[in-house]
Amino acid sequence: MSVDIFLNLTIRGLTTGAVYALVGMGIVLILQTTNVMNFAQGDSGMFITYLAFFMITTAKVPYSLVLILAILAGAVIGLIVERFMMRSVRSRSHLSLIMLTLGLSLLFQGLAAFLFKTEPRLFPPLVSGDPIKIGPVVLGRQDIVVLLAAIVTFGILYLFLYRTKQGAAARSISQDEYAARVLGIPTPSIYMLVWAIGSAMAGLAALLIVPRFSLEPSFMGLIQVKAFTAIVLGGMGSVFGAAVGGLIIGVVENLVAYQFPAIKDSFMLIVIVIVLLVMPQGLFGKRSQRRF
Amino acid sequence: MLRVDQVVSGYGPIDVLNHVSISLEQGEIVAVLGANGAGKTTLLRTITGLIRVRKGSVTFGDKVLNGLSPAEVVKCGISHVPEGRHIFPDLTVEENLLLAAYSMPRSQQKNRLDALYAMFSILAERRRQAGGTLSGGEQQMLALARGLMPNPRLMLLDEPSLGLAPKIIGTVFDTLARLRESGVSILLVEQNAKRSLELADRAYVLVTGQVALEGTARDLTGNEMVKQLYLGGTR
Amino acid sequence: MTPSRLRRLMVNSSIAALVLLLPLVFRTRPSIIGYLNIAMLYAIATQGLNLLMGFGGLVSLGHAAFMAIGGYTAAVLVMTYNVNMFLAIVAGVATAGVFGLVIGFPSLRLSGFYLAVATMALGSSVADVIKRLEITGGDYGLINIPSLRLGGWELASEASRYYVFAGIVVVVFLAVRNFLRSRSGRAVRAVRDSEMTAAAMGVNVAAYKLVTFVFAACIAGLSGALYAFTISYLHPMNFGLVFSIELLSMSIIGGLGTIIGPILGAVFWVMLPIVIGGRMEYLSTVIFGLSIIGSVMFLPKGLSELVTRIQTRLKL
Repeated sequence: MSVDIFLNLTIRGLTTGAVYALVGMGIVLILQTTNVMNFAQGDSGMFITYLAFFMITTAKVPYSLVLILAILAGAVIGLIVERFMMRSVRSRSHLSLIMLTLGLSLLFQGLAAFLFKTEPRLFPPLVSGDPIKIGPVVLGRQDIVVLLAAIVTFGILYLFLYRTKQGAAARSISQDEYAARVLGIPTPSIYMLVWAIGSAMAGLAALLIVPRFSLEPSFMGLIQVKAFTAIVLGGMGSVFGAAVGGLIIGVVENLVAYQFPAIKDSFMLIVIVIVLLVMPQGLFGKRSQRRF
Repeated sequence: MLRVDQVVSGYGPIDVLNHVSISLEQGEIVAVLGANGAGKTTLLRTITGLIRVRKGSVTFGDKVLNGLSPAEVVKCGISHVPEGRHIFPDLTVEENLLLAAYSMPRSQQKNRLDALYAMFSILAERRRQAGGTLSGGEQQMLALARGLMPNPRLMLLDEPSLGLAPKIIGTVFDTLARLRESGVSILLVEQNAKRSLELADRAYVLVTGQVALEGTARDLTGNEMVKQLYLGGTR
Repeated sequence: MTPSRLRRLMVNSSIAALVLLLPLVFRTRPSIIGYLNIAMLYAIATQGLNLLMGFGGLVSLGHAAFMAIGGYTAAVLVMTYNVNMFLAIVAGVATAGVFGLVIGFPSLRLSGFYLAVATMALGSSVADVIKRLEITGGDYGLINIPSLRLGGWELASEASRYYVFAGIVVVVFLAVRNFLRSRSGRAVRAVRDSEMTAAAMGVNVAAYKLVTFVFAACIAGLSGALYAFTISYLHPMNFGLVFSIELLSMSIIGGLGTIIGPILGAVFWVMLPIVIGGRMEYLSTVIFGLSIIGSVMFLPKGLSELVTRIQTRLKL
């Protein structure tokens, strides 16, 4: 592998990883604050992407507006899910909560397939034009947008968590939910806010990555598995960990796929299992404590 | 000021409190004594809205607290310092304090912070430190300061001396005495009956979810049953 | 005999009679019986998952892998090595059991979300490995698997398989029920309710978790082996995460932690799309999603809770 190829693979891996990071950060945000592992994260993004697709192709809404509408749609879905589903079963076991989000994921897939049919559709990229050359590295314009979006989102999420009182409240809930309630923090509204933000991130991530695949009800499935891998690698507990984990996986996956195409898919799965068994706290987490 | 009237509440199918009535006037320190499981903590949680009132009523001033959420109860001017301190370990001291005044305007939060840092100088020194790095005594001070942060008229204190070294227990009770002078009323739940009767104006004794005895702190200190059960040398 | 017992006996025997008569009822439409056969195979696999999750409290998102291992082992043994079919099925069950042991090991250290992710990864990687192997037909899948044969008797018709599968379902379900009623079964449930209490009472938590995993894997392996000789075609992609989640969905809809749940869930899962019809195929996915959500929120024991409610209503 020459240096040029290595650089190209790495940078392109970073752009894929940025999407894993976006999905993973949303999952961790929700997991940490509300204690729900959201298996519907990818598919709610998929559903939003369908809505966006018809806004662009049928209603001819400008792309930038669609992006905003998609983020809003994600937020609304998150609000609805929290208010009408999660709130009433919050005290149940982890298993019930996982099952609930699996049901939700099936519902999104079914709705998408039933309403919009399953044949793959080509989703136009946000930006088109020739790839950009930076030294030896050739990058598609959409890839650059994806990278920037991930960085901006991470920045916004960081500011939310560490510079706003709602963010501080979300962190406090993740550490000691009982104490947060005792102190008079309105935990139900924080849960709703966190679900809204998390789901909005799902919509954004799906919309950014879809031009690289084709739009069909199952297209987020594999990406979500990768996002889970990223979370595990990053230590489950930290948004930062999920971001770094996502980037690492994107890069390593790309390098492995080039050098050892045969083990491309299994490789990440093996990584998960080894990480879980050897260092379950991941790269940035601390064992047995919920935190960001 | 606070009136708990014939309250029944509990967890799941079990009623822990059975028609409990207590009251507290402005500026008073009232102690609630009782063995483990007598319902002391349940009483505090019911007042704060963490547990639903099943029968009876809780009023504060002229406000009925039944059915309010903990957040709303805090806004009415009641704060709750839970047993075991419950400091957020990874949040800084300052974040811990600010969260206790969640719905307060920012300028007012600032004033409260300044006032509390003046009162607890150790917290001012450690304001950027994570709560989990404080010692047990410091954490208890932080917990008290958190309770004072929303500028409450009434503080509910659950076992503030639990698990602390005797010397630090002294500091905690000194602080409570200082609070009385600043006009905050206190409903104090304590295992340390001797200390709390010394501090309190009046006291209630809870036995299996009912008020078994009530009176001024002095009367109760002289009461044979209280002496035997809560002030005896063996306990 | 009290009237209610008499009534229960009557209802139960009429259900049994109905089950036995179905192939005659649908004599002209064997495809219906074929779907029911698939449902029964799913029910067997789901029963293993139910044992693991409903009774053992252990999450698994890789259960389809056990079916794949059972199915591929049996099929390859018969096709490539000319092993007797019965022995091949036994070997398939045993291999799945061994993998159950391997996949069960993470459960000793992990719980909740961590276990979910670990089983998801291990489960998916099994499908991936099968795709890379030559002996399994790789990405082309394994085709022309001979159909089920017991001794000298070939089970060519759907109806003949129907009776055999119904028998196997009953045997497996009874085995699981008896296991749960045994000392080990009580230990497994104790571990689910509180690992620490169970350990304090002297239950060997690790051993029982592994036993549960192995037992559940064996049952799924059996289902997979029978599936191979019924469908006569295996492809690794059919045993990935999606199918694992489908099995999980069946057990949730049927009712986790109930013995009859798996058959109710599997029949519902297989038959609903048939009832709705091809043109509205995906409506059934919507209904499945809603059923899972509804089960968790309102009927924690799923369809079997409905059955129990009907029984109480009819005073059976």
